[in-house]
Amino acid sequence: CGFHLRKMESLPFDAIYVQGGTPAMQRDIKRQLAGGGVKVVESTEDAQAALELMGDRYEKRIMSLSGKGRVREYELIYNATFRVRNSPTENWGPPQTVEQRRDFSYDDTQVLAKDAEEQRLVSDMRAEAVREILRRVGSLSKQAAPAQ
Amino acid sequence: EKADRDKPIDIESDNLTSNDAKKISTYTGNVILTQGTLEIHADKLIVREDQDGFQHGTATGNPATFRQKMEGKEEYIQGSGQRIEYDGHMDKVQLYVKAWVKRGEDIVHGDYIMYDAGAEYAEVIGGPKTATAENPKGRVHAVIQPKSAKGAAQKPADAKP
Amino acid sequence: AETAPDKGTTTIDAMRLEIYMDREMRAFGDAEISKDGQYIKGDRIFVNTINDEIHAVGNVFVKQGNATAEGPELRMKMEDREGEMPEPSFTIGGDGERKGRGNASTIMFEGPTKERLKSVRYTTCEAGVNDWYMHANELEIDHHSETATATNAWIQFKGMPILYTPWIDFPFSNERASGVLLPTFGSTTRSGFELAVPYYLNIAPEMDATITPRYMSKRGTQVQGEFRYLDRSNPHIVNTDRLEYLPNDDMTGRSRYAINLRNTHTFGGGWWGNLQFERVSDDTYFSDMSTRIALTSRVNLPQQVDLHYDKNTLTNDWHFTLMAQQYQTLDKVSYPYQRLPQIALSGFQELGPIDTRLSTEFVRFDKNSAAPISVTGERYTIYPTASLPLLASYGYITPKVGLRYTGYNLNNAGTSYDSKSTAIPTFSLDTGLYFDRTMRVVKNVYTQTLEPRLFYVYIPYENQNRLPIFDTGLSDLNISTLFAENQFVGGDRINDANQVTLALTSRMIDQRTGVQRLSATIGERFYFNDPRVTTCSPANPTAAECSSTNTVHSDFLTAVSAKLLNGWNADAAWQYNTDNSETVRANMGLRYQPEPGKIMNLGYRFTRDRLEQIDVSTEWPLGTNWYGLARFNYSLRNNASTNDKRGPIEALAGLEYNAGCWQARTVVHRLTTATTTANYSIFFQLELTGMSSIGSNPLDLLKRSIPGFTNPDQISNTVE
Repeated sequence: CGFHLRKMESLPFDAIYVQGGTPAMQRDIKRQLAGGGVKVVESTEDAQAALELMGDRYEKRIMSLSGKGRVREYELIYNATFRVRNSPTENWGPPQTVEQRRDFSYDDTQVLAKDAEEQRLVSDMRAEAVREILRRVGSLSKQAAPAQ
Repeated sequence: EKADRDKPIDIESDNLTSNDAKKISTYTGNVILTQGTLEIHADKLIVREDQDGFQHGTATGNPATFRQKMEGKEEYIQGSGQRIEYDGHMDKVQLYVKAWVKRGEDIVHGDYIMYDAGAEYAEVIGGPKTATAENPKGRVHAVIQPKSAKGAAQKPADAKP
Repeated sequence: AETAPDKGTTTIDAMRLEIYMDREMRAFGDAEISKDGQYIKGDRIFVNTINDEIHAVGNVFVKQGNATAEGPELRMKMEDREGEMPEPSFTIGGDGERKGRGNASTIMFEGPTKERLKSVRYTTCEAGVNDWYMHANELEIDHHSETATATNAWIQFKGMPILYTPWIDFPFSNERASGVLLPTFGSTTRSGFELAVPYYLNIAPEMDATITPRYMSKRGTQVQGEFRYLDRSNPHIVNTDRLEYLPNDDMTGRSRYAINLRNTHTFGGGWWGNLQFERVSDDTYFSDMSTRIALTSRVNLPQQVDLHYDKNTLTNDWHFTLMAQQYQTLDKVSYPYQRLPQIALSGFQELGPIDTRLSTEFVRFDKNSAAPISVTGERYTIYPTASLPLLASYGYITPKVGLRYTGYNLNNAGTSYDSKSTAIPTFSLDTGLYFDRTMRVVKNVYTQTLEPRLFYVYIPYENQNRLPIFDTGLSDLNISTLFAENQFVGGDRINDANQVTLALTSRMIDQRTGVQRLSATIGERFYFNDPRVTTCSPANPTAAECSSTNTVHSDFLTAVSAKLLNGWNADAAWQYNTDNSETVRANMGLRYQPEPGKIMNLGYRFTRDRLEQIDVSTEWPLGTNWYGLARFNYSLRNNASTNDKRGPIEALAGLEYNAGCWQARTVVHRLTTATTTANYSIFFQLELTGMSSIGSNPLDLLKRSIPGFTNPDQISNTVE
């Protein structure tokens, strides 16, 4: 039915410099790109492309209340903004934002456990946001640079 | 300055025609009139003498210019216009059409300018003849430098309107 | 003056000019004079060159900086820019900014940056629109700080006097300036008629404060204070400290207060710290004094101080935390354990292809003295893990092993608990493949992915029933926790596991932009033997968690989220228990946001035995100048035991009219609160454009709040 194993994506760069973001995000990016044969380098000089993680925003919103006005569910919204530059000579592309949403049930009698659950969801959202950013970077650069 | 009135008038020009009966003489061709510190340059100058012996001159040029030292100051006043009328008796100069008068750094443009050296008074009137694109009503336009600059820099300026 | 005059040059234009050398100049007929950006026009202008004073008469117009005035006459010293004009009508504010205009008995120019007007009438409405005026017997305009200050001012709105203030200042540029914010008045069933007039103080570019006296007819006058500052060490976090104080509540006869401090500071060298302290005077404080659900729903108020150290490079990082945390509990039931202190050290180190991770923690758990006596004590946890992530473009396989050691040192354990230590090995294998194909839908080309994933976990069973439950609970089952080794969060339980989770995810990615238009996932976990560890504790054996669950496989889980082109977003998640074939959780949400300011949300949320609600909310412009917002949250669940009854939980309707130079807002709100029946409130808000700092919520005004990254545990729960 047309599906094939994902080949080595012919990204038009083999070294990228990643700027900004938390250390955990930088590590995720390094590992996932390494999977695709792209090295994350420490300085801009020896990298063709550059990815800048500009900032993230985290919001926790009450999703539903009980009859008595107690919180029953929270929604977590995480978005990260980034921009890409395909070569040192080009200027930066427009800033783009990826958004992740999770919701989880809440119970006032389990405050500590729910705090831990929230932290786990946040780091999971961050990891997924990094994957989505890399998918965007992959398609943007492929489409921008003519396939060698 | 005031002393000019008693000074002799000397006029040079390429040529001169005079009509003694009517006491009118007409000078044409880069005419230069000097009387003391007063100097008038023009293409054509018609001088008329009244019964008391005072001379009235009408200089025309493109433009005609005049220059005179201020009374008791090291400053010169100068001006230009299509036509300059000069009254020896009253020590008054009148400039007509696209006229300007400049004293030190200060300059005033107008359609008609009357300068009375004696009273140290000038009157400037705007008019349609001096109208320009930026100045549709042909208004008078004066530019006055701050006092400090005027006192200090006193170079004779060869003003171009 | 056509040419740009250099400094100090005066130019005069007129139909006739009389020059008395070095004494005076008289300009007649359409006369104009300008000098250093100051421009004066009038029928006649007399210039006294000795004392540099001008006297203009007849249709006089003067422009200085971004203030202009017109009047019958003007006396002005051009050099010092001091002068006076009777009966002026004036405008303030440069182009691009909201222009203020008005008239006065006199205007006095006091230097290049100051004007003072007497018995003033001022508005920001365009000429011809006289909806409101501010009357004041004196108005002082300062171009340096771009603020205007009025004394003995009262505001007349549509002919009706509505606000008197002895002193008000307001910006006439977009700068933040101290000033009276927009007054809010309304009434609530809990506190009667209310009037709040916030006063905003712009202390420094990165610091401001809002003081709000709030009069409540049933309770008296409360003072609310909010102080905010940006810490230079990490300028992307807004530190906010709030204090509310009501000296004497007429309804209860007691003074009532609320404190909310939230400060983060970076000490440098990898050290940073947090102070978060919330305290209220009594348990019903929020439901009595507030109408915002973010406050009325609060039960446990955190009071904590924590210190952190981070050291990180690309290949390793270390994180140290020292925290002391307790809660003020308002419902006399939940009383979470206090952590006095918690010390945690966690690290990550890449050893070649192997990722090693160590998390160690020591916590001393205590109970609030008001809580019923229960087990307390210390817990030690050491949990090293190692994993070997093998990643390729077409897939990955990641085996992971770990050993979790926990020890307890309990007091008043009674007969239910014992200080048993456990050492439990964990093993998991996470593997998946990526398949792609290109698909054309209408005119867009998509990459459709197919991502099968298998996650096997083996953790041997160890009886943990007699271990206390300090900070542990069962997390919800969702796409994230489907692939977690331990279904419990917290440190007291680790589930036994011999299970495999199978999942399949498919995404539709727009090849041109890389945007993920659709992602759908289905997943299920199969247990080779039934999980036996629960959070059931001997303290109350009858709790729901204690009933043994013999499940062959976990719930079947599916989640779909779609980001369609023209502003439509849809999300749906469904969790189905195949054993007793019933839906455990079903959530569906539809969001339509064609452009900012236009949004519609429709949501249905169901969780078995807990909630079933529909939630509709919208913000939409209603024709020119009108703007509506509404929210309706209706519970379909009827269950006396959990005191849920069918009916509205929250209903809110708001309307805003924007007349250009003023906006009026009204919000009607019905909210059920913890301790009482529904609290109805209605609020009006009038904003006179340009008269108050921009907007009622100055939060977004702090200048240098730079976007940046927050550390994970700095995620303060800024609840909306």
